[in-house]
Amino acid sequence: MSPEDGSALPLERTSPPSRWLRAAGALAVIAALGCAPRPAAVPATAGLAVLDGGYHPLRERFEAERNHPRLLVLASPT
Amino acid sequence: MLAPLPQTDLRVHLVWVPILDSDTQAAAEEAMAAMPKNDPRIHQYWDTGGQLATALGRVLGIPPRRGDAAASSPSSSGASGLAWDVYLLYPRQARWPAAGAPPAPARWMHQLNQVTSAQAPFLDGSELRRWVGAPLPGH
Repeated sequence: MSPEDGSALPLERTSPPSRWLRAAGALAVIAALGCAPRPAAVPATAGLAVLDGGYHPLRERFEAERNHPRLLVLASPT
Repeated sequence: MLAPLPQTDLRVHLVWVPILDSDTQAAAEEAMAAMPKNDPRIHQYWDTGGQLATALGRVLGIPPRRGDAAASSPSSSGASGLAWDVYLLYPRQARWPAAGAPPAPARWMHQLNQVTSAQAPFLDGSELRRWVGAPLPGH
């Protein structure tokens, strides 16, 4: 990955540093927005949901939470 | 940037998308493990096949990069790139019609070189926090 090919960041694609820089970036944004870890009394969030061609279950949750402002983040995991 | 906004009722949908060769479901599960735990406001997803990244690339008008699947696919009719490293903010009452494309956000930021400042600003954490705490355009 390099600036010449229009990539977002001048980082190696497969190195551990780039992998965790990206994950850490998304984590920092989420933490900054007030979605930091809560005490253990709160039930655990469900695991990773796999989207299908109709964007299920994201679309259904997006609709169900329409009384809230929503942040949708798309990021590479590595 | 890291000072939280505990009063917000924001909901976060974090979608891991396959962009790089190393982006697999296993990698997404590993990345998920690094995110805040036990917070019901956060949902995480794996965008198998990059369908959401492709659809949102069209919605946002993201120009293609060399190597973008959406740009190089023979069946692709447009010149849209993939949406990744993007932060899309939706107001209350924003809807996503059944079987429809994802809606356009009220505001968004990105970390993509090919997106112009006229389209959307580059990610600025402080500004994004301000957006979350302020009324969105038209609402």
